[in-house]
Amino acid sequence: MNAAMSRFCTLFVGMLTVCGAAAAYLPPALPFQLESPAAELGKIRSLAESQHEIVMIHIRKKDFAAALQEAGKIFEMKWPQDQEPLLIREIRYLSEQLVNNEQLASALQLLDANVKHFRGSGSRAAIWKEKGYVLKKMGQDEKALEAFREAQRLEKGP
Amino acid sequence: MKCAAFTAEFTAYLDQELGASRRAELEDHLSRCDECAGDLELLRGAARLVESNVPEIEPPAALWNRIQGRILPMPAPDARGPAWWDLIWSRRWLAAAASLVLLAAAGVGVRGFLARQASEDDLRRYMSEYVTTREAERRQHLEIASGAAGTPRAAETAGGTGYNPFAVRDTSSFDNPFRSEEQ
Repeated sequence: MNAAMSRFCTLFVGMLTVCGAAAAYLPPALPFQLESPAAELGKIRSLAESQHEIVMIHIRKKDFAAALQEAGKIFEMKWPQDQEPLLIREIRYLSEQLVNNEQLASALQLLDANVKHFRGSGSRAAIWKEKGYVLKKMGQDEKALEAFREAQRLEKGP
Repeated sequence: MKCAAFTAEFTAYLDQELGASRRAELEDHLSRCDECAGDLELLRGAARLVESNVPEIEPPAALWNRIQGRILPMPAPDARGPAWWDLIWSRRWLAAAASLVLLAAAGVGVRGFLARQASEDDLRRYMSEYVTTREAERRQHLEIASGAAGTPRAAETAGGTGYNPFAVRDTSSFDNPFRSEEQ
């Protein structure tokens, strides 16, 4: 009985050692690998929500350069392409805030710097239209027309 | 080449009107063809005979006056050469073809211009519609923002938060699209 007990204990300890070693050497599972796309999107969206508030604080403080820099971080996030309408709302809203603060050049800068993050032609057309709107407000009618021409071209497709 | 072809050029040869190469060809032929050489000698002799036997005639003075009388009323030839319209007129079929081409090109140009004009009008309308809509939207947002001051929502959002497009909670609002409903 004692011999059997002793063998069992030896086996049990051995198994524990093997499991411990395996746990120590295997890399820990990355939490985002286990997350669903919806959870991942929720996380990005939550970060964007906070980032949006940071941008708005900078705009209220009239620190427009910082606002542009922080706004860029929103569009640089790994958004799925189907979220582009949401990002369009954001960029139009931020552009509007800059226009309200008479920061037309900053609004233009915001649009120019972030258009590259949009892949859909509809989204790009929306940004070109917003750019045209800002240019029109700046009194640059010819450039505004050019921007709308580009938007029209994108909307019509190749 | 046959002798006849050379014979036809004897007069020009005697008057020294042939080109150098043609003259050389003819002389080469004459050196080989006695018949042609004989004919040429006959022609040369005849010419000499005419020159030596015909007396020089002095034209009457009135002849020159008559010729001069006809020349003077004629317009002086243009030193610059014929005018371009004279050239075109002399080639009427070419002028007609050129006119047709010009007309077709003008038609294409006018059509292109009209199409461009229509497209430009369309673009201006497109721009105007967007600018009007956007301005109305902006005014509406400003009104909502100013009207919201003092409301429970404004109090809730005091401290920096407003519209957030990322918020799911109130996607109909215009201030933060990222805000989630769960919050």
